Amino acid sequence: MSLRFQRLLLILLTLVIILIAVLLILYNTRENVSYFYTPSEIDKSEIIINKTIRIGGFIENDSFNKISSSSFKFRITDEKASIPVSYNGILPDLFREGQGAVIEGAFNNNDVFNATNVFAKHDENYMPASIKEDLKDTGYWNKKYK
Amino acid sequence: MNRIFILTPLIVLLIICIFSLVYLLSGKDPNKPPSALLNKDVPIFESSSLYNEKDIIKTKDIKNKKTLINFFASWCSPCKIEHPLFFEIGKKYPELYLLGFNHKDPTSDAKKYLKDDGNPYDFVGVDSDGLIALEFGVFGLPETYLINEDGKIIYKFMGPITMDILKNEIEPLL
Amino acid sequence: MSSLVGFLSLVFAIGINFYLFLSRYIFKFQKQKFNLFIRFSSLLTLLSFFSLMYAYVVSDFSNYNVFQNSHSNKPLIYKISGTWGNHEGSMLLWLCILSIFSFFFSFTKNIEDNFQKLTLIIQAFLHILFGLFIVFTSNPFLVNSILVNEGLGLNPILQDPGLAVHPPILYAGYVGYSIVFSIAIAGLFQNTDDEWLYVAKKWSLISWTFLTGGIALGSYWAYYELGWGGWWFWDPVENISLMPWIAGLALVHSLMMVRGEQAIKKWIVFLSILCFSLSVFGTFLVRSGILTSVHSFAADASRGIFILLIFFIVTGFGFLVFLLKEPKKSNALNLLFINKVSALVINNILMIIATLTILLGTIYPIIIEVLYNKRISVGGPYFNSTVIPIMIPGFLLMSIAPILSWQTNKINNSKKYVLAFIILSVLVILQSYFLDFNTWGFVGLLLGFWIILASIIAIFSSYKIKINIKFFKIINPHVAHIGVGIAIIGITCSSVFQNELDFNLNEGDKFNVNGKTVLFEKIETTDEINFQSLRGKFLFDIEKNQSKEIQAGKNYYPVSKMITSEAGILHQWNKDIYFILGDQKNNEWFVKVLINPFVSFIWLGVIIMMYSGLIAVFRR
Repeated sequence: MSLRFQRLLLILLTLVIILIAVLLILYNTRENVSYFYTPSEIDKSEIIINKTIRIGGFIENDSFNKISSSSFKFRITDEKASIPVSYNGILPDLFREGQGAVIEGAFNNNDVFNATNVFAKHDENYMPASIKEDLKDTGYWNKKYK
Repeated sequence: MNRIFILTPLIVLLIICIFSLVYLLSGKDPNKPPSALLNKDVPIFESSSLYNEKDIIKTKDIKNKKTLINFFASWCSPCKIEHPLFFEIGKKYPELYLLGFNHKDPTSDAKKYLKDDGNPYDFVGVDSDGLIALEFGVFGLPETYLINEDGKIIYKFMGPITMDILKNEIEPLL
Repeated sequence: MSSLVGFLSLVFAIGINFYLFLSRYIFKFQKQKFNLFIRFSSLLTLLSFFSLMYAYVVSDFSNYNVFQNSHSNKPLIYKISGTWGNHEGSMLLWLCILSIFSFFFSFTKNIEDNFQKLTLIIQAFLHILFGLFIVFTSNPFLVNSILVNEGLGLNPILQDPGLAVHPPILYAGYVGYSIVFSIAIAGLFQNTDDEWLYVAKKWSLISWTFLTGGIALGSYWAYYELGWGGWWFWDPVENISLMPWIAGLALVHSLMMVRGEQAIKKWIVFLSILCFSLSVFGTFLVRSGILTSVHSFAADASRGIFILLIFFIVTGFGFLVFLLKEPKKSNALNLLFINKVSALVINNILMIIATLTILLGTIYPIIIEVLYNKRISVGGPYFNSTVIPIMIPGFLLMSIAPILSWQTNKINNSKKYVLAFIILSVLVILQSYFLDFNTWGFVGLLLGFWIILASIIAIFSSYKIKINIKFFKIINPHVAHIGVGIAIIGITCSSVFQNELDFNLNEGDKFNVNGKTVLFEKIETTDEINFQSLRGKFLFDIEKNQSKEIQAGKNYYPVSKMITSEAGILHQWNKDIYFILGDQKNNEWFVKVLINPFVSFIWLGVIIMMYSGLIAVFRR
């Protein structure tokens, strides 16, 4: 192989790599990006069934319903609109009614959002009491399982 | 040609900075839900008056009127600073219900404090064990809450309120 | 009191740095005196940091920062780590590490005096920028206006020994690039000999090693603390740390070319500036709260703008100097198909493309939201299917790259490699034929084993085996690549061949995991110092006498009313069995069991990489 040919080969190789990278990026930004909405931004008439999206808001009070130990129903809301969600799996640690959450999944036919992932958010502004003596009164599990 | 290559990072930098700046200035807050406490119902509480143990105030007693709830104590020096402001609020907005909660104070100290500095509150509830403060999520004194007619918390302030805060943040809500 | 000491020493340190910065133009210093001043300001910054730490240790709630982020019930280690578990404290740590690097750099021997001084002046300039940022927007020494006797606690998710040491190590990596940046800029200004390339190489290896350790600790933490059974989530914060890591790797490799006298100075300078820019950009993205994740603290727009300004100044300054003071022409590259030079060039191109891809994915949501007012999230699928394919040719190349020659395109013993590759391919094809076939699994395993095999062949056929320090220095590149190969195998197996089992169980139930019988013994709740714990106890492999106990459950932190998951992990050399305790209804518990094969290989690979990073520091 002549020197010139080797250089040409290298340049071609580089160009091919860059081309592949650009194509990958273009393809993936179209296919593998999910849109993010708040409940009130979701227009009921424009729902695309089975398209993966994310919804951010917080868990509506008194909406949480445990169907079994691993399947749950709740509503996610932004105080203007609220959307029923069903989820199978393990809920994140910070998941509580009134707390912020982002859920990922898709709508099925009957207007229920099927979540595949639930991400909970800790609201930094909400700081409950932290006075030492009160701790004794706030037992959480109360050993009630035994 | 060479120059263009070297300029690229600067151009990319400029683009990134402009977008980030626009984003920051637009005040967008990525998917942050409203504070868990704001716009929520007032926690359920029950407290007796500092001056009369039989005089009891409950959550439903403050329904249908705007209420300003203030947690204070005689041992809390910043409370002393904001204290005179409550007289002004009371004078300016007579229809506003001023509810004070005396936090973890011996009754005698609380009474003496309100005698020396005056009592601006329509009702002074006793919270000697701090349980009401716990329900409200108070973490330090003083702390002030504004409740609307529907019994929702519409404003919360931690620390002593000042003239500025009163003018710019509380009064527009009244 | 300690807050006052801390604040004053911080301001004083900034003042000294300002003085030193001016010294370039106004007062001239002798080298000795200059270095003394630098060290003094470093010690002051350190003092400032330690007085904040002291306030945390003694739970001094008259300090607003301590009040917001600590609690007297916390164990001592988390009081200490609480110092950097918040925005203000972590920025002070940032500054502190910056000045520690200046401190050690001032001791560097055998470099030109003026060059060292200029580097340190640029460091002083950075110190001033970040110091002012702390004083004006994130002062950790504010006095608490509310009278309190108790603090607000720390995010319990952050209460973990792994995470307590994670930020300092990660920051050491990030901030270490500041020295590399300063060296490169000073090199541009002086534009004399090439001696500075060796200095830059040493420091960039140190930073890279720290960064590797920091990232690995972070993902190890995510693995056992977040309780999802994964260790990498393409979370924005993870991406941010990955960008300077890859760019740093490119930098380390391009500095290798110094040895073959093929260095492209221009490119090295570019990478040095890029690495630090990415570090600062990462700091900006996390600290401004633009990206929300577990790591980000409360957002404040003025902070964001200030640090964006710093990012703009630092990066803009760097690239502007780069534009104006172009390095003098280096010798033409000896590019052949395929020798060491061209392999390194391709490696660099690939790494830069990978970095740009991650950068694009990270800022894409910001651009879309500004342009279209739509919110999108770019998650794992994008990065997996973009970054990994881009890296694959690099992985193929790295197996043989260290033995390629600088001058010619001949490979010694090339037949051996071809033979080894064919045998290996057949073995991996057989393996995937008998077990379930998966494209990614096939590619990953083939690459991983190929890298290891080729490196071992190279070690045995190219060098005489001796057990001494010099030998370990010579084979170091191969060792590093073996580490990468091991990590690739671990990554492939644990992500592609992961097995998930779900159970609904009552206490006392037996169930089957991987052919072994497991007993769900009982649920226990206990009170600990600062939390309540709920644990499900499992006995693994009860048929044997030495059955192993696994505990999986949750902790409840009353101070912040938060719950954290505590996964129960049974470590074996070839797999981790990962128990997650879910919710219960009518005394029936949901239990998820993940079988993650060869996870330990990832950590082993990382440790090998860090080892070679350290060895390479000492190799000239």
